[in-house]
Amino acid sequence: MNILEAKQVRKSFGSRNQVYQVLKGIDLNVRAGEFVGIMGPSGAGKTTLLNVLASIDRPTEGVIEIGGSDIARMKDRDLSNFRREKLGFIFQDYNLLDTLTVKENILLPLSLGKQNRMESERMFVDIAKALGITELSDKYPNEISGGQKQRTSAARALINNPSLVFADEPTGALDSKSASSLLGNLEGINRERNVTIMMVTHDPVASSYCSRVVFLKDGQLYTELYRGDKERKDFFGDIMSVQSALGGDGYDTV
Amino acid sequence: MTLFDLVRRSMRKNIKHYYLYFFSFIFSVMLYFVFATLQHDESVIKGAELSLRLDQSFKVAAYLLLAIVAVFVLYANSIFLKRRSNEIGIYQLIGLTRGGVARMLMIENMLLGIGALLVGIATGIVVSRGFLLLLVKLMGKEAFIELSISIPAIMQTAIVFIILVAVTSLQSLRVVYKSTLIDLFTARRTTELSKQPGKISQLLFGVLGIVLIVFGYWYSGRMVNSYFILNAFIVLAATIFGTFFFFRATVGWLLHLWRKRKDGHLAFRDTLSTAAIMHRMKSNARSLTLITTLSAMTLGMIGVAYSLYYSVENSTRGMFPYDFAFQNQAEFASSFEKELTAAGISFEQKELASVELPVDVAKLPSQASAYWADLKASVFSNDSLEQAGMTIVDPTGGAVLFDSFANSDMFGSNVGYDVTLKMPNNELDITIKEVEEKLAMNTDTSFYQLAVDRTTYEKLASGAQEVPYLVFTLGQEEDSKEATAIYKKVVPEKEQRVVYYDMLAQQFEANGLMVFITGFLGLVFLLTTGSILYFRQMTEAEQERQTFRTLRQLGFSIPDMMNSIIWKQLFIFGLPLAIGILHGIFAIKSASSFLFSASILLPATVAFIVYAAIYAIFAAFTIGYYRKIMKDVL
Ligand SMILES: Nc1ncnc2c1ncn2[C@@H]1O[C@H](COP(=O)(O)OP(=O)(O)OP(=O)(O)O)[C@@H](O)[C@H]1O
Ligand SMILES: [Mg+2]
Repeated sequence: MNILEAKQVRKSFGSRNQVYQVLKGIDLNVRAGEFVGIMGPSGAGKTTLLNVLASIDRPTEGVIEIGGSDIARMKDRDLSNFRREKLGFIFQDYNLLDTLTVKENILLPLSLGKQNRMESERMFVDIAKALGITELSDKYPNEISGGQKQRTSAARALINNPSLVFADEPTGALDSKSASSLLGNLEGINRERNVTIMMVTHDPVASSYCSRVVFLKDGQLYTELYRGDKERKDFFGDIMSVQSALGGDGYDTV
Repeated sequence: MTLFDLVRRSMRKNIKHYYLYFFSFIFSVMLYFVFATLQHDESVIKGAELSLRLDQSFKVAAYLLLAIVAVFVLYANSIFLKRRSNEIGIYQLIGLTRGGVARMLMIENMLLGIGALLVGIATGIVVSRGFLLLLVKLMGKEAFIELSISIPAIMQTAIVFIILVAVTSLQSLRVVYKSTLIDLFTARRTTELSKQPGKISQLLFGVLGIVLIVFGYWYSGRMVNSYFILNAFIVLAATIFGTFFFFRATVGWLLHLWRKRKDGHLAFRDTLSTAAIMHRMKSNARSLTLITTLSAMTLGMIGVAYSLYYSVENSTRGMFPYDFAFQNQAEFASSFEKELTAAGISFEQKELASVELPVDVAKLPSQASAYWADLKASVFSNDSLEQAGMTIVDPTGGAVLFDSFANSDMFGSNVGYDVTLKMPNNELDITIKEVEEKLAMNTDTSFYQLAVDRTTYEKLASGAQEVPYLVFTLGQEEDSKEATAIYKKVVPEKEQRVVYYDMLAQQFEANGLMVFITGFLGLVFLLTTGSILYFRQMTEAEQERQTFRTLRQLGFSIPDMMNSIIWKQLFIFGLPLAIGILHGIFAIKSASSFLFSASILLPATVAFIVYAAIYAIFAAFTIGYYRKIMKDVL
């Protein structure tokens, strides 16, 4: 079953006389329980695509259906319910509220639900422990490092057990140890709870955790790779070879 | 956590971060309330009934105040919304409906509005007493006042601000319903950069700006004719649009030329200042125009009002050279003299005489009053005036004309023109040698007053009856009250003339009220414009956080960067001030040419300096804010 369908999605920026098309007609289907990686050179439109798919941004043209309904036509209440109960979003630039502590930021999504205090606390402790930020709970965002902010942002996205997670370079600011623990965590919820994940990344190691990797170039789908039952190491090799074929700006290949 | 909890929490956090917005809201309420209180205060109302003109000014001032407070609150709210847009986006992302977010903002707005209203009115009650004291002092009244809490003022303030809160709520609603999440997430970081200048259209608009301003200045000296209202409108429109184009195009164009000459070799100071100014000039044009216009209005108003106030004594004395004057009232004068002596009041008494003759002034340029039939002139001899203590130019061979409005060169000078005095048997043409900017005798008639030499006087007096005067001047001004009371006791009401001291008090009252109103409005304008600039700069500083971080990482020190920030602030604050002052000077100049004859230079300079000084405080605050951000980024 497709949880997400994008048909001929286009997105342009700019004004009348200087239109710049960033997404040039993208078709993409994501089945429930998939872990999709999105790769491509910088400026290819990955962030834009993710934002459009996650209902954060509006496409200029095209239809996006989540769970069978067109999000452009969804009622405000239904869209909000969807975001509250199903969606988790990890931002490339963290997007934390400066006025709230780490703990308050993470608990924010639960503030609308019906969980009682003890339950929320337990959920917080679990996710904070998994991401290694328990000690930071009373700090404010401007008192922690970039990687710690990124993990806080991830914790906020995951705390309400979403069934669909969008992550924009969630490991961009992390060292390899925290990166692999976050990826492991994502892989875990994907395997155990059948959570659908879409993750933009530049890192072939990160995308080797995925079950499918979609390559984007100049606003179009370039190719895609399925992991099947390959070992992660072998899948990593496949990704590397597509990436060098893709060339790009050399920023991606190390 | 319920919605209400969320509101409470976010408000608690926000008070710390956005105290400025809360403060400005409270401050607006307070100022508005103070003005409303004065407007409804009995002693002021009495003062305002003095003349229709003052009453009108009070009403106009109230509307101006309302307009500026509204603009200010809306502007502050829009900045506040922008700074919080990220938060608004996150709330929606975690699943709050738009309706929910909107409701939350409205609750917040309401709580904030009610809080500000209460605090503002409370502080207003405390400080309005001080303002009232100041007003009473300016008006030269007895400083005995009792200020009760004015219920109508509270009502008026509450209504105005409840409406404002409603409008700001609508403003918030628009942001919530019209923006996508991505707009909200990026709103704080996006800068409205303008395109590179250099197009022909910009040059055209740039030149147009200067042309319009110059035209406005030029025309402002020529507006006094039968199309006065239209002319005033033309001048206003020309200068305001000229200023707008100046900021929007001219400044950018000039900077562009300058930058081109540098050919990429910008000094470090310029990278942070000039480049930033150029990028934002276009989007700043509207607020800079507003600020310039408000400054010019303030300076013009205060300059005129303060000049008038400053010269009240002079101009009153010009119209009433003696403290008391008796014309043909010898018996009243002698009992007045007796009573004064009995009361132990020191005074000087002089005798004077004039001849009253019909006069033809058709040849004078200032012939506005020539339409009146039966014009008369009181003619004095210069030696008798001098003997009474007045110094005047020697009129030998002509006449000296007394005209207390001589300085207002609305119709040009009368010097060199002839008037014709009609004696019973013949006529005498006499040339105006000089015009004295005062009167020779207290009067409540519209007679022309002339001085001639002794021989001419005798000739004129031979055929007509002389009018005798007895004039009194007090030795000490402190006795004025008592002496005035004696005058009113001695002289029956029907025979009484206007007394210098009564006139003086009335003038002080009227002009004091004007100074107060304009000063109060000026203060509000100043605080508003200062805060708007400060808010804007604060937002820019936030947006440049990343630049500062990068620069510091590259090894630039805080003093290096502050240097260029100070430069930029000089420009941002200094330019509107400078142009505002220039506009203000021309406004005062054109007002002075037809409104009054008063000394302008000193009072206007004082007003300008005070204005600039308070304005500079805001610049200092802004610079301080930048310094704080620079320290913070690393
Ligand atoms: N708000 C915007 N206005 C104009 N152009 C934009 C805007 N946002 C993105 N772009 C342009 O769209 C293109 C794609 O941007 P996007 O952020 O999607 O790239 P990306 O693939 O995520 O790159 P990266 O890997 O560097 O994050 C870029 O060329 C960018 O300049
Ligand atoms: Mg990106």
